[in-house]
Amino acid sequence: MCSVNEDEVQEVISSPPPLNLDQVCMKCNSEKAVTIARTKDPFCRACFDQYFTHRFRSTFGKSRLIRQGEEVLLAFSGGQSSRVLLHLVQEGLSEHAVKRLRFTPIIIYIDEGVVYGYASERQKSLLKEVSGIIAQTQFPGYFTKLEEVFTGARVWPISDAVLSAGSEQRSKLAAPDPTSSISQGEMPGEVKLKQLFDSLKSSTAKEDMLQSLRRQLLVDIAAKYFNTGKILVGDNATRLSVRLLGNIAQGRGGTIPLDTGFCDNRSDVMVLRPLREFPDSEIASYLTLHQLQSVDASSDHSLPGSSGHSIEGLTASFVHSLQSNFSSTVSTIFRTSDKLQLSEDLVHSGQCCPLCQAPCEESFNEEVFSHVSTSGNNKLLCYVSSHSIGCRLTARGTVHENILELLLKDDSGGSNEL
Amino acid sequence: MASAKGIFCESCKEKRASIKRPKTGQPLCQECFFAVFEEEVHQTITQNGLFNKGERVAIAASGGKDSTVLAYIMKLLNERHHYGLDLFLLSVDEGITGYRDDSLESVRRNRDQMGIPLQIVSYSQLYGWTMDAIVRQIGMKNNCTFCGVFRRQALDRGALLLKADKIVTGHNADDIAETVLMNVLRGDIARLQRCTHIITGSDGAIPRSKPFKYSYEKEIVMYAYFKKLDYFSTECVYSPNAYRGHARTYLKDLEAIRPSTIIDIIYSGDSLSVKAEIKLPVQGTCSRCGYISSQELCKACVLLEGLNRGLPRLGIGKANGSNLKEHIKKLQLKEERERESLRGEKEGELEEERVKEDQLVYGGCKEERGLKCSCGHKTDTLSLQTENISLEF
Ligand SMILES: [Zn+2]
Ligand SMILES: [Zn+2]
Ligand SMILES: [Zn+2]
Ligand SMILES: [Zn+2]
Ligand SMILES: [Zn+2]
Repeated sequence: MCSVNEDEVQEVISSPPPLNLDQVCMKCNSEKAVTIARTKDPFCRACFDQYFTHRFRSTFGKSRLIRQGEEVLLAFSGGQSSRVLLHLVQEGLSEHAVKRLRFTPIIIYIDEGVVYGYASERQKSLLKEVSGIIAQTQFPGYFTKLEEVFTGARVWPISDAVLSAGSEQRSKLAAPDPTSSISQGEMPGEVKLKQLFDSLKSSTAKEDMLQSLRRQLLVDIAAKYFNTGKILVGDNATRLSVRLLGNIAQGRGGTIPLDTGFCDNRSDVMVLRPLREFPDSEIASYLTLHQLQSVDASSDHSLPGSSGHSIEGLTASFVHSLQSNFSSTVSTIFRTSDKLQLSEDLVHSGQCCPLCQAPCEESFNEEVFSHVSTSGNNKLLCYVSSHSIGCRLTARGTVHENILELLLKDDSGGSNEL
Repeated sequence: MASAKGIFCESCKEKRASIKRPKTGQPLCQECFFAVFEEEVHQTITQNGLFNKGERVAIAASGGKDSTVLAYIMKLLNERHHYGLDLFLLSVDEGITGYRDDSLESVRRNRDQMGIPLQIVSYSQLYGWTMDAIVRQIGMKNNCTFCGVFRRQALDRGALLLKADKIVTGHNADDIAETVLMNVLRGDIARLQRCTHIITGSDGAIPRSKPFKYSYEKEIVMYAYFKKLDYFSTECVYSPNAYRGHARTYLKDLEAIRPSTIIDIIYSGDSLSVKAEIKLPVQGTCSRCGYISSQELCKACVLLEGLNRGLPRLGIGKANGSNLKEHIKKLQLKEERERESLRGEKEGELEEERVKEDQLVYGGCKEERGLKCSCGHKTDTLSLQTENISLEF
């Protein structure tokens, strides 16, 4: 089994339920069905599209969070879900759309090659592939690198990547931020990032760290360069179910609403999840019916140096196998997330974790949890309790605490306020 | 791997470590393991204010490992820290010929060896029916529902009868974590919210608490093993359904990746907060017997009603009871249908889940997975409790 990060979870796409060849669309009752949605309903092509678009729109519409003409960052990984998201937004903005979407998307791709230990050739070709897809949409598109989380969150237009395959990037937007420019003699971000990940022993910690860094970087970029307060991400129902269960397993039960809800507003920049109602199988149907190509950015690649399974990877395979036996698994888990809220304690805590930026409380008895070791920097992290959960567990394995320190310091001016 | 000779106890740093503590992976000597295990239970008791001086506390006793260790620890801590509690063992005899003989024997040994008084209450005392009589009435099918519902109440009713102020049960951290996962998988938000509570039933019923809320099953087994405590490996009264089987495996796999997961899950359960607009079933009391119930009649009274009126299937399946006529109609409809629909399946599981929760009180189920239910049903045989436990280096 692969070690799983956000994107990989999604790659383990469960195939749509078998379609009986002579089934008729349950909606129009006339056309032949081409796919199954909502676990058992046969749909024809047109009705499926209608259902999908409608559900996508209503997820947006209910929230009324995006203002007319507002610029919105769309995080595109090249994976299946974000490919569908990109297509839906494109369709929604096109002239023939029934009710046009009203915002202006800016597409951003994060190159995470350093973390995966990709050879630079592979990194370049991935970037080129992704850039190709973005370029077709005619939306403004940019790319960044995960290590930019250490060095001021710079971005480059994807046209650079298309032209030069990512070498010799000229930074157009990056009028280097005085607070974040690399002073002479300091370690380059790439090295820091590599050392940080090397120092994390467990795959769980690596994946957790990757998720936190990705989030931090997106938020920083949105705020610093695009002055937008919203980021769209491709998280779908299956992935969010896995995350919900994984959060519970990592002691992050209190922040489930932030990690799986439509709107994650832990920082000033909101992360929105317009695909959260769609399970993997429907995402897969959409891709197939629209003949969309996704880019296999990270599947079959575990984070290097990981030993054994991670909590998220284990949870993903658990959910997928359960789903194949009990078709309501994902929707049941998923519905739980809609019934939860951030507790009063967390809402009013006024403190947040410098790494995942989730609100923290501090009111737990350490005695009972004598497996807890809290020292140095780790004291800052996710003390959702003094019990070592979440980021504290992640950071516990960090050998190079100074790197963690750098990271925390670097970003403390950014988006850490709640 | 360092050789055994080189490893010293991380706590006293004097003796050689003989145990790798499951919860933390620390190497400890036997004495230090006892000390830390006992201290954690003591902290759990005091920090959560489980008891007040002078209270009469019933220890739910099945003769199984959890309740045996619980009884031992309760007595020890009560003396060591002067809790001032009046402890007694409380066992329930369901009235199944032969079934309780061994476990009651084991409880009697607990009584004699630990010097804690024992009270046994019987089903005929509490309900007017023995399980044997119920089986004669309704046949072998579905009587697990009766076991579960009657057992749950039996403890409360028995404790009430014996004028106890509190009940303690041997639910351990693994049980609670597993229940959290099950409730997420079943989407049971009401249970999810309360399943990690260390004290339940504080309004109306006799408060029940779980001093082993943070104690790992593996450590309980170790403790019993090294203390040479005499316990009976109870037969399982519950046949694990598919869902729970999966959840249990998942939990074990998680524990293998990160041993603190069990506690982390409990912590997650404790920190969940349900939206105010989500309606949770209101806990009222049964109009007939006064036991806590979200319906007008509690489950036991519905079942008894059915038994006494010769309609044993009444109340089996979905929780109900407020409208008997309607319920009978529903049951008839339901029996006509095959129970193949997913919904039917889920309800069945829900029932088993309840049963399982009740069984825990009696120390069954997570012990050696026995071969058959009290009513004669075969159950899956699962592996023994000592698997994966590295007792020594
Ligand atoms: Zn149709
Ligand atoms: Zn954190
Ligand atoms: Zn020692
Ligand atoms: Zn039974
Ligand atoms: Zn009643």
